[in-house]
Amino acid sequence: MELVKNAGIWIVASHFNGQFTDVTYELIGKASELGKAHNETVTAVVIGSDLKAEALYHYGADQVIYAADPIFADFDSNSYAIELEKMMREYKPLAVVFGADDFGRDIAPRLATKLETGLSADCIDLEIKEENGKKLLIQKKPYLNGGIIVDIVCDKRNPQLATVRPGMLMCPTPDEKQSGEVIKWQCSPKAAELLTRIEAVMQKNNLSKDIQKSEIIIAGGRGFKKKEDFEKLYVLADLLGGVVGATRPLVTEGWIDESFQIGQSGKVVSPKLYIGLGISGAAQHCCGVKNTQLFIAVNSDANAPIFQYADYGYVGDCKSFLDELISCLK
Amino acid sequence: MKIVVLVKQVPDLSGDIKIDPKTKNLDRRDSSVVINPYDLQALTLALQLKQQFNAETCAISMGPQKAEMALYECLAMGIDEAVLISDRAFVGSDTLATTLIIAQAIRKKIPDVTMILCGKHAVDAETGIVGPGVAERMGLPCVSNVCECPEIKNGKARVRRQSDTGYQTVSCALPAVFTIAETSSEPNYIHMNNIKKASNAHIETMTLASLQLERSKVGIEGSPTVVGSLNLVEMNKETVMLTGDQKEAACRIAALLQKTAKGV
Ligand SMILES: Cc1cc2nc3c(=O)[nH]c(=O)nc-3n(C[C@H](O)[C@H](O)[C@H](O)COP(=O)(O)OP(=O)(O)OC[C@H]3O[C@@H](n4cnc5c(N)ncnc54)[C@H](O)[C@@H]3O)c2cc1C
Repeated sequence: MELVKNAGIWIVASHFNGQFTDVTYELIGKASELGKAHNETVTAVVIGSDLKAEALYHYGADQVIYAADPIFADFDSNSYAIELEKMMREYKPLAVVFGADDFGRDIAPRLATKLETGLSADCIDLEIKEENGKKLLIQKKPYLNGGIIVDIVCDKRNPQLATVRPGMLMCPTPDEKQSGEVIKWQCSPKAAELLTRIEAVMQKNNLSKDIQKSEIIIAGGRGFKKKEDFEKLYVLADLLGGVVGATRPLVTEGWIDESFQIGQSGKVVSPKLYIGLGISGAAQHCCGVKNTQLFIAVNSDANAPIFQYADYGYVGDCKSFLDELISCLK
Repeated sequence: MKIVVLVKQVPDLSGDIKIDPKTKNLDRRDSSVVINPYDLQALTLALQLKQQFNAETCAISMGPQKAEMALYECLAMGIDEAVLISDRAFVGSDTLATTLIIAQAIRKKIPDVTMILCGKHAVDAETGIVGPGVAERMGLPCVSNVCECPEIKNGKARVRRQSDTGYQTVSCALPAVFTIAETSSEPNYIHMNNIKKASNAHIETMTLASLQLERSKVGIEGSPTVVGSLNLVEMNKETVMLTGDQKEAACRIAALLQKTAKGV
């Protein structure tokens, strides 16, 4: 099969332990939507070793291209970027999009530098706009703790590069009927191109993923004075089928694992329901809570900033309120 | 051993931030500037390495003249030397142009650099591109999200980094670029004698001319990305404050929770 040249949206797949990440699927979903509207093909590109690349067809990729080599078994941004550059120079796609994850954060800047093209990182959405005969990738990027969303474009050079945060886009439902032949990319990477070596991996329990996927989040902050009071949040979470999250001070305290920290230096979550108890509502925390349908806040201080984000608020003691809430639900 | 720390001065976002709805820019009337918090972590590690290995440390910042203040702060923390990269021609540089400028400054100033440290991202723009971009320009390895002081032996470094799924131990040859996430190290307090030294120190300024860069490669001209429209994220939520006693309020919230939880 011949790949299209000088066009198309490319998604660079990220993977860990032989599995593609969810953001890869999310990006393919978004790219197919844009591709249909603007007549662009969607190519998923995989660099790695021992991966089932054909699975990416199920999520809507028009083409899957795979550079397989044992040298690519472990992630290394330099060797991956070198291979990608070769592909880019050959096919010159319109846009290349990565997840804002371990892969994209490190490879995309290298690739942008090699190709001397523009890159915007950590976008939350993408659009295409046609202007003067050029299809522009509109890269929606939050700025200043999410207080503003800036549209970034790269109007003079191609490919247009972006990374998009995991969990921001809809994940398409896989359809096994959509399939195709994986295009093998001939490559011969050299061991000398590997600049970093992963010596050991300590994987956290997979729960860290769950907070980003959870539709119901019960979050606690420093309003809780004792660990055992905070831990009652788990009772509420169980009653509602949700997950407990926290502000940074509680993570620092060691009350909860950092994979449950919500905010700028933690996870960005977009649950349907968020309830924050004893949380002041610092921008660094609240910028991590997106697109809620229902946002509830309980704080003893009527002027706490968290109330600005809330649909419903109650001024009171979080510990006794939580007890009351649990007994109402039981 | 020679360590370069890249430092950016950013608006202080730890308080309440206000955005001017007209200019859609940060309302700077009551906002101050600080060293990017992750750069502080990088400075802290640099100072640890200075103690451990007697390393020479140099802080480099690109920005307006007033970014000098951030560099004086670095000197007062114990960093040995500071360089400001500042030129009208650099205004409007995006990350591609910025990495070109910074990499050139490092090559000129400290050609035999051992390690380049910077924050994992700056909290204003949150791109995280500069570290890996500088590494690419200089042909160096880069490890991002490093969360402990690097172990150094025989020209190699071993670092622990936060990954998407946990932690990793990664090794690479030096020189290398490391971007620093949160570490458990407390930032260095400023010592009186360092303040004295800092206030007498000379901060070198590097310009387009001294860096011998092409005008067309920097600033707006050298920057492929363009900032289009800015949209304020409206925070005009109608908050319903529940009054009445706690039991009543809790039961109303319980009902709301149940309703939403069912819809999930
Ligand atoms: C670079 C940087 C990154 C950061 N990243 C994050 C991040 O990712 N996530 C994050 O959460 N924070 C982050 N922070 C920290 C953030 O700025 C805040 O300090 C933090 O979110 C505050 O947590 P808190 O609301 O639990 O505590 P506090 O700010 O101390 O607030 C506690 C609140 O509880 C209320 N309270 C006290 N007693 C009671 C009671 N009995 N009942 C009810 N309410 C009570 C108080 O009125 C207060 O509003 C970051 C900061 C920096 C500088």
